[in-house]
Amino acid sequence: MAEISRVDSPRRSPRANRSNRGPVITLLAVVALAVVLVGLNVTTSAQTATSSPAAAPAATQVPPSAVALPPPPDPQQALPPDPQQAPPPDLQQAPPAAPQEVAYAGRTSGNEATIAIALRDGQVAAYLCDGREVESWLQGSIADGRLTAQGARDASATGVVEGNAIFGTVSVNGQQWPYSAQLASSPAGLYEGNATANGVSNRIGWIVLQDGSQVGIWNRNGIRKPAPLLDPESLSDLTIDGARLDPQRVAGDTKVVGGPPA
Amino acid sequence: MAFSRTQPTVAIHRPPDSIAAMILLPVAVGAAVAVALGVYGRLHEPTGIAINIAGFSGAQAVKAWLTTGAFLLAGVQLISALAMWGKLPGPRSIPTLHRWSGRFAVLLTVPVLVHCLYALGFQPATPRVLIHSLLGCFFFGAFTTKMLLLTRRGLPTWLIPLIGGVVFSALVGLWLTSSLWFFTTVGVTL
Repeated sequence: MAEISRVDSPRRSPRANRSNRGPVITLLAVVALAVVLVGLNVTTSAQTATSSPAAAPAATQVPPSAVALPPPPDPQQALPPDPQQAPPPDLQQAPPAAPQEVAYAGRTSGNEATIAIALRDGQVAAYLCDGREVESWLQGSIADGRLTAQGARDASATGVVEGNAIFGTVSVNGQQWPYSAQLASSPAGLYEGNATANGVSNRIGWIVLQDGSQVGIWNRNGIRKPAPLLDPESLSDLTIDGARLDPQRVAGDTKVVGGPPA
Repeated sequence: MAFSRTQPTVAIHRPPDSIAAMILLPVAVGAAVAVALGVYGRLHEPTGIAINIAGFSGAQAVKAWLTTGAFLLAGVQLISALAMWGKLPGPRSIPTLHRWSGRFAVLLTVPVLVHCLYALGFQPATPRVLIHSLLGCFFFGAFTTKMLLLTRRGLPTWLIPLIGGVVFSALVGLWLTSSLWFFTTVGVTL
């Protein structure tokens, strides 16, 4: 092409060489940045992994229901002295089947909504909420590390317990989102409050995430709006529309579906 | 021509075999990068969380804005490339602008790549997410191919614009399936 053809003479090799190395340097810079970021992530999550069992020992050391191999250390005992035993046991084989009160909190993968899952004695109460207008209460069960839950209007959730997290899919209002929820130590978890004010039923659901932030919806007889701030530490009463609302922490066996119509 | 520092396109007559051989390795490496990213994203257990940047509401917002930055720089890439190849008038510094806007654009996408693959993984759940996952892997493979091709001399003149256009299109697709989606569903929020 006449408009761009030219000759790279060998005499101009210093510049030519430099411009030839440029793309390689760019590639290496990209790889280096990626490696640094992955390293930061791995270091950060390693810290989280070692600190979370201490925050919620009851939840991370659940006895396996049926394991043929040598059993892991008895969760009732104090931590074994051997540091090799200190990391969380392999929870692939240890679904929370024992009478444990556990809560998980997380988000859908596209950050469409937050989700909180409360477990107790194999029973599940869950809540999905975007803090503005999308919410769904779900009730179900967990067995062999597999979670299923249903809610009103064909809402449903499935999940698999893996390590300190539940991964799965939730369907609400015809939309389907993958989610992940991490083991949450109190006050993180799921909260609910009900009150009738002036003959109108009010229901508020709150998800308190591990970082302390909270997402909630106030459903006033089907009209949804962001929830007022909850104090998850004191669970002090709130006043809505002149009526007192007593927030409660939701456990796995709390009945959250099948009450008054949403 | 004014653009003495543009792409080194040398008028050397090479047999087609030799050109194919020159192209083969960069394309193979790029394909390997794309496949490796996809396999990692599929096999690696998504952590759901990753480090965040202060000042933003969440990782999704950070990624939406980083990708938007890269998307705007990609516009600079397209215009400067047209000038480099004589389709638009431009100053002598156009190749420098092209190189550096490209470098910044791709560096902006790296934190997004890391977060996507580390925290979320390759997801086929919905068409948007599937297309985004495929395009993301493809983009970094195509970018690798382009960088490696730039080190070669005597390539056909259409090749660099072609691979540049491919990289550009992939980035636009990524922006449409992530940032635009985020801004229209979650809102234009920091």
